[in-house]
Amino acid sequence: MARRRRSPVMAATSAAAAVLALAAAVVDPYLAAAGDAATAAELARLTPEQAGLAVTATGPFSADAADDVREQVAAAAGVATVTTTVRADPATLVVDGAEQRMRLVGRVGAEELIDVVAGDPGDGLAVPQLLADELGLRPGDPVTLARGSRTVEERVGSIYRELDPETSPPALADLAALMAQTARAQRPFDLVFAAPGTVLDHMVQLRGGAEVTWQVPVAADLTGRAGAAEVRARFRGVTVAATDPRTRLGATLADTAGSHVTATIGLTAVLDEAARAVAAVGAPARISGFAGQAVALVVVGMTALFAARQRATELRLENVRGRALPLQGLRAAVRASPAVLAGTLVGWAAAVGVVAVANAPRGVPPTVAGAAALAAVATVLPALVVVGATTAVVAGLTVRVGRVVRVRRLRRFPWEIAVLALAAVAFVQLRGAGGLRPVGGVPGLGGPHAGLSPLVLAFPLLLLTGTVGLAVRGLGRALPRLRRLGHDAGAAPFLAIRRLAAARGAGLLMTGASATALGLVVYTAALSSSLQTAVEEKAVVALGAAAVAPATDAGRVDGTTVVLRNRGRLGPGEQGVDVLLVDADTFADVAFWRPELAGAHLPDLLARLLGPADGRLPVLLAGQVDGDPTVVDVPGFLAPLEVVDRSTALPGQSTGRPLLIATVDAADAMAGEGAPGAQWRDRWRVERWASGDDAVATLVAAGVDTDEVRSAAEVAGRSRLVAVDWALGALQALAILATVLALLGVLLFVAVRQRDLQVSYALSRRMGLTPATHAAALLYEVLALLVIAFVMATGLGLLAAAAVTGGIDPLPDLLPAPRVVVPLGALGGLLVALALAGGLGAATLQRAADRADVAEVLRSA
Amino acid sequence: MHDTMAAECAGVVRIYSIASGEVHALRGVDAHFPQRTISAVVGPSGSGKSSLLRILAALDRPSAGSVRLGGEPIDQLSGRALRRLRRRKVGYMFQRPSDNLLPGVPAVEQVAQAGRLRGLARMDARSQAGELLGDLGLADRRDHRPDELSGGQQQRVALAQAVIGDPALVIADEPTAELDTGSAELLLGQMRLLADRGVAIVLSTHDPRVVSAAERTLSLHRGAVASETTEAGVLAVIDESGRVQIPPGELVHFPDRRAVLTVEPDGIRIRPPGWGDAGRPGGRA
Repeated sequence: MARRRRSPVMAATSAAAAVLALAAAVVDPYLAAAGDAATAAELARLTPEQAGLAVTATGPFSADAADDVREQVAAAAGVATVTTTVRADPATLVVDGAEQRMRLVGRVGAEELIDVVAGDPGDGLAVPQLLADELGLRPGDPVTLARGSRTVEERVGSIYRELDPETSPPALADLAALMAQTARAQRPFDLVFAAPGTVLDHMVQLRGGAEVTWQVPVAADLTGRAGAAEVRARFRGVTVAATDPRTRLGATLADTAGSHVTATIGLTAVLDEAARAVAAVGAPARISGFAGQAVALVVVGMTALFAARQRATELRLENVRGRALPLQGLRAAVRASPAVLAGTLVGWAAAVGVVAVANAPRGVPPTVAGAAALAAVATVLPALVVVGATTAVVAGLTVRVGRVVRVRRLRRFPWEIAVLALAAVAFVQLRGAGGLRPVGGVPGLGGPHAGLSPLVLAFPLLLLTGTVGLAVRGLGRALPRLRRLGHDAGAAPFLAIRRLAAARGAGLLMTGASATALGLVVYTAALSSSLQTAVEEKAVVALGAAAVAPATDAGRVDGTTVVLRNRGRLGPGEQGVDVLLVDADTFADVAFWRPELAGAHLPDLLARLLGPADGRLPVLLAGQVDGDPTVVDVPGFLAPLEVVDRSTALPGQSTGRPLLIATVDAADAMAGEGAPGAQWRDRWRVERWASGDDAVATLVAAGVDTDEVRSAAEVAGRSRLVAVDWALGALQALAILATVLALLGVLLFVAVRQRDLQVSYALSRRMGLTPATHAAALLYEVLALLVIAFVMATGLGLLAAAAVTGGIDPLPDLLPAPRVVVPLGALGGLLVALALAGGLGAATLQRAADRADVAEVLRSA
Repeated sequence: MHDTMAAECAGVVRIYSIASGEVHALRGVDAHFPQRTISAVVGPSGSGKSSLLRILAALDRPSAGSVRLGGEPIDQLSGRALRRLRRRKVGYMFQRPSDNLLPGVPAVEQVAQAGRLRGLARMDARSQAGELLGDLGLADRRDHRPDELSGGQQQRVALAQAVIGDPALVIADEPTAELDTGSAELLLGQMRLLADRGVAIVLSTHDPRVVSAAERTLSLHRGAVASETTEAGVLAVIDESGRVQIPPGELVHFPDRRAVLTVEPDGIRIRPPGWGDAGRPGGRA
């Protein structure tokens, strides 16, 4: 067996095999991690009760019966805690002859969750503020609950602020939704809180029924998809028992509620969301995986080609001696197998490791890691087949005479035009249908996930391939003209220019391949940074600033601003509107703003809001507004309007409703003129906003409760973004793999040129060229090719990103729309990587040339 | 006499397709190469020597015509069968010594590997390799690697590789081109020795020493056999269509490419037009 240094080739084969295995093995762990992330995001949005089991029955339950069911549910589910929520049938609240329809509701722990404005919530009924205002109720006042002819005497324990579905604690979200669903024209339907047992006792006396829900929460540390599926399976046993009268639980429920028993599992929706997210990520991840494998196999073939060229003498000898080509291929495959196996192992470990780090809290399940190992092992055979086939073909060619005419004819075919035409078709499709496509929408389980269309990958690839192909064709004609240049330059630039001018075949192919791979990197980085920025901006617009929290005082604190928020109606059309009253002095310093939202700077706009204008409140208005509003009607505050400017979006615009901003001072002035009531500010929710990276810390320092701070980062992490986020991650991973392979290609190209350069160097040295000059010329040449590739890649990558970004808005209902953000960090990183690869390549070549035996080189030339 | 033919060519044509068209490398070559003989193929560059040698080495098939190696026709053989034939019956030597040897492999191992490929058992291959190297004067170099051998020694090892396992035919492409006089003569002497054992050796060359060492010399010109030189002298060549190829040295007598052919009881006479029975105007033909 021939003894020679094979380490560079073996290392390249190992690296290519590692990338191949990584591309094959990473898909399943990646999808599993995406599923886990989606599960975690959904669970974070829900309370443990909402995510858990809920058994609901409607009927005339007594408190004892409800307790009995609670214990049986707890036993069947194998848990200690079951939360009982009671929604009674509608009844009437009677106070001094005045009546108001309402519903008694009860939930364990509700008194700690509602926003109490007066009284003690643990003592008597908790009455909503508007109802209390209308009936003139205060804590301690006696009231009568009536239903038909039956009555129950009670007393008011506390008064609470109405539940808002968007701001109420998650545990009360369902009750807040009930309140909003049954809202009357002027204000929400009235829910009067009492202890669950009290509610049931009262309804028994009133001969009414109630809807009772027993909720089994999931564990607070439940995050993984597999764990969630396991818990859901356990809960399913309870749901079957609850609806089967042959079981004790089912019989107990049936005795009271008859057939009005339902059992739901919140985890089902969570897992459906996760499944949709995985489905949405699946296509780009699998496409990326396959593309990565295809490119890696090409590089494996290139390494085999290089190895075969190194062993040309041996292959030619074996060929003339009649050794079968498949046998020569088999020998090469056997020789490459240790490198391929080592690379496969590294690739598998990298796949699992990378995903485990990215999915740090949850890791990669052992079964998924096992499947990934099988996927990685499955790449060994294709890699060895490629090595063997390449070697056999090269061996066959070692004794073949006559050029292959078909290749030349193929080169003449303008395939780039055909590819660019396909890119144009893909672009038209993208413009028409957008880059996001719904994946797995299930009626009743929420809207479908937004998955990336495969065109988002296909379009840039086609654009890059076609354009780079044309550019390489043009370079082939343009580079020879460089010969006119460099006559006055030093020896190194002159030599580099002459070599560039003579660049053909492998050199231009390397440049084109590098440009395509790098272009994909620039494209995915630009797309990712653009969408990330868009999501962050949308989140900040929705919140208004980097962090927001409810506040109890409106005093000024450095780095923050105080905003009063309420909901009202715009007159004369009665259109709902969110209203913000802001501090004109501090708001512009804290609130998020981009001038293109309104074509003006925020301080300029705020300056126009100061002071009443002819008895009207000057306001900024954003969103779709019907007609020209003339008045704003907020409970306790009615004022005529002067709309001084309109904007696409305004800070704090978190819903589809229009948003109106005025200054607190102007509103105060209006109040002074007697339009609103004197205590008008008491009815407004007070928020404190802060900006900057330390916004949360600033708010906490200002005295707000940490748990109540909402940050833009949390909003940006909404579960519906998981699919897009992970899909983009898959594309980025593909781009990074492509870059690694491209750089590997550069080094292989350098290695292929080694022999030619050794001859050239041997001759040049005889003409007095110094090693340093030769090394500099090599560096210039390799870097020039890489810079050409980088320039093409950057231009085309950004162009493709600009074309696609507008069509993949993951949150179209929130403003502003995405815009292209140049990924300066990624570009800088690429430049450094290219410089390193170029330097390493040039140094390798120079070292090999220095070590070569000149006499031997010239004899073999 | 050399009755058994190691290789025979009849009307061999080889046409290569290249980007600019077709190249007719061989235009109906008729030749035979007996066993126990050294045959030289000579001719200027582009005359078709390498093409003929590649076909004789079963590395290529003729575009037309027929070739038999050891009595077996190769033009209808599949690629696999051609390789099998090559493995069994043909040895090959490249012009450049370094092309014939695997880098870093000892000489005896090089020869033994070639023997193994020709079907010898491992031990037999090794012992025959040792014997061959001894016969070729390389007994003390058997464990040397190629870079420790001179060019002449490398070519002798290559010759040993080519003849181990008793192939019917050994093809050598300008084997002495890169050797000094002494090494070349030594190599030719060894070839003579091996030919005497029964091997047919066909070599292409520009080297007069090689030509003089060969029993037969086939002279190619523009893809056709211009002449053949044997112990009987320089022979004109008649192809299957009856065309006579006048030896290049005599063509000067036929400036208008026309001849008068006379069949006589004691032979056939070819003479330029205008020449009399007594010979050229003023003398004999």
